[in-house]
Amino acid sequence: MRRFALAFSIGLITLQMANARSEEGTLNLVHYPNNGQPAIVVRGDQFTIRAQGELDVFVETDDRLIELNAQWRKIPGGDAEATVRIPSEFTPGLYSIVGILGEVEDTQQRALLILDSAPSQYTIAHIPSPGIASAQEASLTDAFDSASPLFAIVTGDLTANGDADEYRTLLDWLNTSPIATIVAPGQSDFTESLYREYFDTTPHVTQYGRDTILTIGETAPQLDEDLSGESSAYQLLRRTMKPARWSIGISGYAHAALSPRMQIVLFVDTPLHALVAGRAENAIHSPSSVIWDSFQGATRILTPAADAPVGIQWIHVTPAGIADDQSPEE
Amino acid sequence: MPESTAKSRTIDRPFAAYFGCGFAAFALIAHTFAAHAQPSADIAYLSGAHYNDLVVCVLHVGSDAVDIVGTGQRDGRPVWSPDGERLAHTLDHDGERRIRIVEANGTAANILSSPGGPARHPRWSPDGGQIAFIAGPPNAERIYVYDHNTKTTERWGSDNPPLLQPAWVSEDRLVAVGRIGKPGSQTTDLFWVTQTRADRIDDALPEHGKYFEWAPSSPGIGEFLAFESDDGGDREIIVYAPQRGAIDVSNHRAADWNPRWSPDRRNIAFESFRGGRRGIYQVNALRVLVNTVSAPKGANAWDPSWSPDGNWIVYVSDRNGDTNLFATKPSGEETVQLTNSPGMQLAPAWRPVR
Repeated sequence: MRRFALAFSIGLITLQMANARSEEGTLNLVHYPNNGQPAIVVRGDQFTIRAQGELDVFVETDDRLIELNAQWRKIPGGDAEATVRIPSEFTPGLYSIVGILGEVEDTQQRALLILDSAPSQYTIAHIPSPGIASAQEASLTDAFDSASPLFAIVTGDLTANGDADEYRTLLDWLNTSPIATIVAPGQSDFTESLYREYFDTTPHVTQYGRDTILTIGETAPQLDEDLSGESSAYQLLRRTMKPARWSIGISGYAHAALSPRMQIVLFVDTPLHALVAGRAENAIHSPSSVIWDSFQGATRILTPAADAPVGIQWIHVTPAGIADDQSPEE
Repeated sequence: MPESTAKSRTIDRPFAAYFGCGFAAFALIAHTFAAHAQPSADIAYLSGAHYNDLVVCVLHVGSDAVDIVGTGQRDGRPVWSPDGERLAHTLDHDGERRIRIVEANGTAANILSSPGGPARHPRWSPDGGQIAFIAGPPNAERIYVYDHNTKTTERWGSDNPPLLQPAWVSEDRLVAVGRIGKPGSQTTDLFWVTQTRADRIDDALPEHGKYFEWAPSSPGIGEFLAFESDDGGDREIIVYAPQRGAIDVSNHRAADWNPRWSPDRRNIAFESFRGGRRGIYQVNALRVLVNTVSAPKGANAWDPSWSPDGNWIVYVSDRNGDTNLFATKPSGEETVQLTNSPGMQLAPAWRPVR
């Protein structure tokens, strides 16, 4: 495999227009990061890339591709994983990742947010339950003008029925956003079991600076039995998040769709500092079924009120804590 | 605490193609248990490509045959009756979770009514004459007991607290987890539950409501119990003995989960993250010696179930990417891969001796 020196001044090559994902919009060579699970990294720091094979990896700027030095290793399941360092000379901003394997080229738009430094105080925009159903969805182009959030969280239901057309529309909608977008699926997004085809596996941790985001994914309907080992993944990820200043869970499930074991992991043994969940009206049973905070209550639950107007919930992260507001002002 | 360093050996044998259980082509690894031929080497488990597809199957270890005995309606964990003749599992039925009882060959299925709403967590009584299960919404769970002779279902325990995870201690008593406190600040305690009462187990839990007890398991000897608790700062396996109190038998800074008693009631298999991932370990309940059963490098192993003679432990592992069933001797010395299928093979339960 070709290796290029990391120096910012060299290793620059020009390619023709890259092909984004597959023709169907599903993930292609690059599985992570992507425009629903972006990597957020302070320049000079490193992030992990996961792909179908040992790719040549580039960051796409306005007119060129800048190759990054990737040291690949095989992981269970057949994928390869590499740790990639962002040179400290990089200009902060939102970038696309390009992977090349032989003659195949794959672009993940808006997949890499490079920060100038570890953020201490910032705002996150939370868009709950867009429930994308058709191509006439509003653009996100101007949605964040008033607040300049660091990035946006979009919690499920991301789509109305989880079919391929809706996922393609969702991708187009996300790509109207000028800022990075992290998605967390809801129940409808698994109707046709396509979520992984578009956004890779969950749960997933996005680590940036001193803070971390845990994306909570699909949960088994056989809730009481802790069948699948998904709680293993949560336990392991929570351990990696432990040194974080703030740990924030995000989920499209605003109802009791977490198994008791997952609640023990996330809210009792190593409680998240905050959980940003989808709209309260997603609760499928009575209010008593909303049990996010049943156990011990150490986690702050940030869920838009059922009667809140559809829009953006602003999450303000400061050294003192994490709070939500309907206003973009801190 | 000493841990064995027993070297694990995986035995790979040719595949025998099989189509049927679940919705994907299924292949079993041919295998034998030459050194320890099983008197009843049948293993019930769940198979499917997705949670929504999971169906209860029975793997006949010696012949590689697989019977489908479930419905594929989001089937839940299969639980053998003590005589090994029947299975109980949850499923979706008419829009609700229900308990289904079925003969081991898939015939004579019966779906239990649930006066308390969605039903889950079925557990057979020691003589197989009753099944305890949970019903009710979160924070209002109750224990119900179905009697096979009278064909009736009765609520056990008392109005409070909400009760979870029942395990039979004797024919007329259960141990269960009770939710303590209001939603938002709950912990748990353990309770003895009878037809009319739910009494907190005082000497097992000297500090009521302070810690979070979970997953109680009875060896069927008097009031002996194993359970997990976060008393001590992280989750540990605790053995409770009457008059002797509670003893931490796993004692590790990593989380220890889900104790399962061996058939001879001397050892406990449990899950632990002490190896970096989720692995299977066992501890002698009296001598408090822990050894590794299966801790595959870079992968997870979970959900142990003992063979009736105690010579093997079957469990789930994702060591090859998909989740499949493996069996390992409790010493950790020999490992056999039992299934090799895409998708999910989960919740194995070794059939009791008939």
